[in-house]
Amino acid sequence: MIQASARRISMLKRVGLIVSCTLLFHLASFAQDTTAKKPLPTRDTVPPHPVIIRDTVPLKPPAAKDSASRDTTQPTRTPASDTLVSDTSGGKLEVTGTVSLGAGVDPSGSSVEVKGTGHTTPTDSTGHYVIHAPPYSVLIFSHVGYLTTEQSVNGRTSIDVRLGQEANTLQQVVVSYGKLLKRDITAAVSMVNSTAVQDVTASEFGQKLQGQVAGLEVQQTSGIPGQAIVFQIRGAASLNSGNQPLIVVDGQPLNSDVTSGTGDINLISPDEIESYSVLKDAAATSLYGSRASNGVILITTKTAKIGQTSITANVYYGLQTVPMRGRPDLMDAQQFATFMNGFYQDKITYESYINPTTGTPSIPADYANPAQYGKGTDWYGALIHTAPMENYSVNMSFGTAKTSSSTTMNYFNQQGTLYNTGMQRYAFRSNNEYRPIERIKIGLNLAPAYQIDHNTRGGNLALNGNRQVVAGADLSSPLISPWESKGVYNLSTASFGMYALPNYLQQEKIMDDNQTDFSFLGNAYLDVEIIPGLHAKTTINGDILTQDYNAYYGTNFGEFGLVPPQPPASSTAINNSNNTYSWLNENTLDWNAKFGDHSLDVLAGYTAQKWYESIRSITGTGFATDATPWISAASTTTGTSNSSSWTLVSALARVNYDFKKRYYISATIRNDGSSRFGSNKKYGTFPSVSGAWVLSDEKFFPKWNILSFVKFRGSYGLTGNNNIGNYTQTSLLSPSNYVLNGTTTLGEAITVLGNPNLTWETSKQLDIGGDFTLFNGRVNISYDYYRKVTDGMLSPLPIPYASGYGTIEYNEGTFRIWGHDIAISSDNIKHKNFTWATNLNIGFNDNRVISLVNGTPIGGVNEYDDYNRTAVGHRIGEFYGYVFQGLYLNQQQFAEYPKYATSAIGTTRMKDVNGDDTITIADRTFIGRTNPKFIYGLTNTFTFKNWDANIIVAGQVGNKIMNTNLQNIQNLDGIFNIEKSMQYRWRSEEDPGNGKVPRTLSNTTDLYREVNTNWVFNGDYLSIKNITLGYTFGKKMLRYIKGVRIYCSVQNAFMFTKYPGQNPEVNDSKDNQTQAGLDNGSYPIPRVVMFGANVSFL
Amino acid sequence: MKMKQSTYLFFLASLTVMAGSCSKNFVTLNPGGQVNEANFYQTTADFEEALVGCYPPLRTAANMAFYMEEMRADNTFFDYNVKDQGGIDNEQLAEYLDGSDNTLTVQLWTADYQGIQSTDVVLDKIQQSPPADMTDSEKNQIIGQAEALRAHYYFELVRCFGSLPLYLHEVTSAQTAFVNRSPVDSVYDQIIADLSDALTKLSPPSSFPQSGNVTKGMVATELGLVYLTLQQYAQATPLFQSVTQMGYSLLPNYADVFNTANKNSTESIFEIQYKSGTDGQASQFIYYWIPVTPSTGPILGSGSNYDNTEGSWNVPTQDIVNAYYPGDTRLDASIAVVKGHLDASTDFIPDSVTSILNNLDTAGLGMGYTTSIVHRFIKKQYDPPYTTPLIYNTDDDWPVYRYSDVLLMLAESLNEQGQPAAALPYLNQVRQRAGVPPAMTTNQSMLRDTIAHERRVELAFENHRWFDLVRTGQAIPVMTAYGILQKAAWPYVLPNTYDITPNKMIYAIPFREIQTNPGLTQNPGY
Repeated sequence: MIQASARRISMLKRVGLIVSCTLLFHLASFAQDTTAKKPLPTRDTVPPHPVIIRDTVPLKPPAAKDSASRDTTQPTRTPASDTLVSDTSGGKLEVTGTVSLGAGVDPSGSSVEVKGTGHTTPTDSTGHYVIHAPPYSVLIFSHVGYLTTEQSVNGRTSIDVRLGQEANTLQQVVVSYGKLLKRDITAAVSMVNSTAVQDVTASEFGQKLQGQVAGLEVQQTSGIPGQAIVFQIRGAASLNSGNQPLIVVDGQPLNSDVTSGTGDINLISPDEIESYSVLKDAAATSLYGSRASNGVILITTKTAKIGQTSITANVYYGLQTVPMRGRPDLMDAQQFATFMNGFYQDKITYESYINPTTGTPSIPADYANPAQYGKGTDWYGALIHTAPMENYSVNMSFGTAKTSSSTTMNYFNQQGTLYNTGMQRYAFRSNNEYRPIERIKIGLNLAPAYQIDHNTRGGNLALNGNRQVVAGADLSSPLISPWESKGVYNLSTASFGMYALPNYLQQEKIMDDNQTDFSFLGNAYLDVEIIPGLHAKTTINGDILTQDYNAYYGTNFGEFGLVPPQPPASSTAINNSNNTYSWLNENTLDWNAKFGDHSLDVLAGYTAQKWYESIRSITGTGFATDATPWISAASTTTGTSNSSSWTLVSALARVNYDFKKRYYISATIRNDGSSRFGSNKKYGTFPSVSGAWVLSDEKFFPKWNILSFVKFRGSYGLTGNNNIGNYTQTSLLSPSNYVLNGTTTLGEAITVLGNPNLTWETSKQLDIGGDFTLFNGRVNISYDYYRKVTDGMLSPLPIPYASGYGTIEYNEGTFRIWGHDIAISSDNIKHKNFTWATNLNIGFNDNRVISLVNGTPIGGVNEYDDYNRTAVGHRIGEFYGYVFQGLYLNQQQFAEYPKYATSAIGTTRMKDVNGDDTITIADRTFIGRTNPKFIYGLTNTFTFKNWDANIIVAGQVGNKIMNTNLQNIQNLDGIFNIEKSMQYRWRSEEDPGNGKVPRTLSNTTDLYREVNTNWVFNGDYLSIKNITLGYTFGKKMLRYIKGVRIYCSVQNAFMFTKYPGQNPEVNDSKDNQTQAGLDNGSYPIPRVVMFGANVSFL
Repeated sequence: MKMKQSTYLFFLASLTVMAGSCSKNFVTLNPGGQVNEANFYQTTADFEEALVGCYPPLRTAANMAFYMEEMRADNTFFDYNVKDQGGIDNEQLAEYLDGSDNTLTVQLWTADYQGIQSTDVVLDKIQQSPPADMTDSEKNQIIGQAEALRAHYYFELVRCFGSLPLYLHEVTSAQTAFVNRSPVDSVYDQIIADLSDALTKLSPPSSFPQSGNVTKGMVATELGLVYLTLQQYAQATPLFQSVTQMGYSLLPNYADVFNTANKNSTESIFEIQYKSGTDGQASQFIYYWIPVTPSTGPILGSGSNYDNTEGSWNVPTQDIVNAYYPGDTRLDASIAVVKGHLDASTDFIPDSVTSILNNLDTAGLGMGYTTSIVHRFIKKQYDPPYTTPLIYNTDDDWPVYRYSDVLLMLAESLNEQGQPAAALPYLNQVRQRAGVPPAMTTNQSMLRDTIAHERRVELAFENHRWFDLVRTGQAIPVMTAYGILQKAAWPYVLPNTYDITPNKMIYAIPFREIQTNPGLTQNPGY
């Protein structure tokens, strides 16, 4: 061996390799020589060794101490008799058998090794194997995630084994730039296998992670198909610079823009994914440096195991319905007419109202006789329907010693519960690895995806939001039918005196607004094991995204305040498109070695990335007819184009060291240079250090079954965030043209103030945790405490308008974030026919603003549409508004209490917070936190014979939600349909109603519509996210069908909450923590009842 | 295979070295699609473009000024829009209910300060690094116009908000973005200094129609008004007199002054420039003046019927209608009347536009409260037919200073200096053109009232009324009396409106500014 290595080195020298490499080889060869055993195999290194037969295994029976397991009744054979039994392999037996992993588990990918030889063979997809082994050798049966089992051959030619599941601590976990056994991890990392969440219907993979990981908050902010999921790892880490974790697919960081849903992440088909790793602390994430402060989600896509030949198909079909709970509690026709009758009565009494159609003080005809109306139109109900959702995917995997290939094809189609909306996705992924010769791996992964979003992208008529389709329809008159006559829409839905409202059902149904996305993720790598334990890897990643958006607003287009028909001259068509590409080159050297009790893993790398986008936007106006909705038919066309890009170069290194698998220490460092920062602030360094101690392996630690494994972990490190726009370091000018001499003359003015000193937002994070195994390995507990201090948060710093600007991109102030993550998994019952396992996780999280530049608060400064404030001593983005105290019920109260400019008897009485005896905007204050005190998830899995059942629960406690839609559906000007409770308004001192709803007097109702405590609700909820019941048929049903499982499941089955709105996970701003927790009337979240089947062929 | 390893490693090493050496360039990027500070302010042409960039904030401010400087006073009010109280902040300006959170005052503040910042940038950069190709006369033109515009923005601000943060240099960082208020006197000192310097650098208009740039005539007029506001009549008079020597004259017909065919005429001292079309230079004043209606066609005369949701603001009051003299040609030139009917959803549908002269006393103009279907609107920016197929797209300029304004200010200045007889010819020049008999009195006090009245009707709806009332000390008595009438006329005008105290002579500093800069103090009473 020494000689072999020496030969290798001299060879390398001959070809003139650089000196530094030689040094590495010396180190490597030293390690190889002193390594008694190979390092623990990782999945990457399990069996690609070709069959090499070495004569180092004794043909004699093993030593006596090994014979305990031997069948002593069997006669001792001589080498000669072995030869008699089977001589095809030079004195070896042909041993066959089956490896099984338990009922219903695909055994492919298991391997059988002749101990001490390195001679390994994979099993086929049924677990069957054939291996040639000396008669007194020992076979090692292994499968990732299962206990490795040894069996002495003892001359047997048929050996069947069943592998037991490995202890939790021996599961392999994908971490940054590699994989580790769970036991060896010093950082805070959680992993979710896609099989655990396979029955959760999802247009975006994030839906599958709801309730699965402690400290990972996954919110479905609306029901818009494919665009609603927002992540937060350990709470808000940033202000409005993006709180989304970095999503890394097979080593390739993705670009995402969750706010507009235009990034790549919602283009990934969940069916391609094998596992998710959630990296939470600095030690886990800092190898991703400047982009890692919000945590990282590593996605590993499906690859083929060696020996695997499988074709599996997954199919489901479901129906989505909008639950009754949470729909707005609006007046029906009779109630609304009654309200309006009283409204005009009061107008006559207090304001000398004259009915313009009669010229007398009389109630308008629409409302004169409320008894004539029944329920009328339920506009919310009119917009929605039961919509199908379907998913078909096929995975084909083949793995041999030399190649493995896994291909997933997926078609997903979700129609929206709002009519005429939905999305479809065609996704394809092929992951291939070639191992042409020993120690070389070449990989090629290709993943094109095509997605069509139908009417869900917003534009002029968005589905979500203030006065848009869902919230707008709430305001429509229940007195009016959607249909004027059969097939003919009523164009307006305003009854007498109401605001101009279109027929939102018509608008929804005629909507013409589509986006297509084509994305192509490609990834090629070359991994060379230069010498045993030293891998050099180069990867090239490419990411291409093309998006094309087309919308047309014709003569029938209407929106809030705009009732069709519109003149053809106003018809508008829009075409926006963009091309984005990004490439990433990563080069790493990874050296793995073991010296006695010392294990060492050293990684060093260099990466470069460039992202480039070009955009085009064309608008055409003036169409002769709606029959030609393309810009070529427009009379006026305007267009623009632009481009932007960013670049990042980085050097990274990591050292993992352990002694006796008992004491672990790890250090990482990454240096990033980003184009997004000023010339002298481009580079940032992000180090981390972590350690772990397996206390239970100490000699003094008693061998308890009740507590068999104890590990303590600690880490500290820095991570960064560069999530700001491009070019913010430079002041930008914009055209500021003016007319001189009667012609438009070019002008320029600075519109964006640059900050050349802008630099990384840096988080320093401490994490202390432990992993514990109890009760014979049946209960695993993981706990982490973390404390993160973020300095120089990237945020637009509000500066006085008097400066000529509103904001400057700035490294703002200091924030502290802390919390606890607890995860418990328990095998409650492990009976042959019945199992019950429970996973529970809870994440506590809180934050404080420690300082801000000049103490200047962010937000809460405008009269309207400004509901949150971030201020020193408070949490990020707390609700900020008036404190509602009731009404001035009578003259005495009116005289007694401080008043607003428009106050009158019977109007809203807010609290005089600043004590200046008058109510102004300065009396707004903090009225609720938007972040939950804790979030939790609970998954229970049952199997009974061939049946399986799964219940996923998720929830949150302690946050508040602001229903800003109440400013509309509590409007007292008689212009909208409103909440039923509004009928109990103040009408006179003798008839003060419930004392909470003010009167309708003109000019006084505005204050009731400004942000106040009435809009703030408790956001606690417990949601039964998914209930699944499945049945697995026995094997060999049909010749080519290996297994069939059918199941039915209910997604979003039950929601328990006091929040009166539809969705307590709502968040209109999605990713902006300074404007969190707002419910502006969003696309409803459907309940999905679905049936599915998983079929394995071959 | 060993060959492969070495080749591979060599490749890897060279790639790393290569990437390292070019990484600095690799991570240095500038926007390709946007002018930025690094590649601008290099040539004279750049500075000329930057100077042009100082003018557009005039337009943003003009969209707020008519509420704050005209509707605040007794010339105009609004037609109450029962269906849409989204404009309640506009209404509150007229009714003296506005607070620091008013959404209009902050826009005027922001626009004027954007103008100031743009001029600061030009003035700083031209001093620090003048382009080599720039001549002295080019430099004087740029500096003079920038100084005059900066003074103009500050002058509007100081009259609206009182003492101000003085930003006299380019803001380049967060540190220089926070400035506290300077006393009113310091603000006026700065305005006078800027205008005085601009006066030496700029020339009178060389020809008519003018270009639309700031001229010496504009600077002298504005500096004169500054002195008039400060009641320093001796300094004001020679400035106004100088303007009479610069080639300006009154157009023979008052109505022609506002015709888009006569932009930048001999009567124009300074006007804010607009141009209809799709290049973003259009005005839209008439849409604010006419009623809210789903059908603009009968008023604007274009082929298309637009839905105008912005209208019914700055509606001429009975008070101003009554203020015109009998036979005054300015009434019909300034105010029009539209008649129409209500549709089934109580929206106003216009039928025809008619003369104010036949509808002098139209009672009850409010929408939704009476069966009245007659609405007044300002006619000065009314140039039918509007043939553009675009809504909110008109050609009308906004007059800032007119020659008749200079004549009346000269008359006022002379009268205040005890020279009523010398004042009369200038006053009567304006009256004569309007078809009003000449004023004869030489009683200083009576002439003061006559000139003030003349300013009201001559310059009605041109944003002079409120500032004139304030600088002459008439705002509280005039507006208090007017408020009593208003409350009697409209049931929706609350009892606590028109509480006019000295504090209401200026507006509140916008709430956001107070919150953003803790060093700012709020005006008393807000």
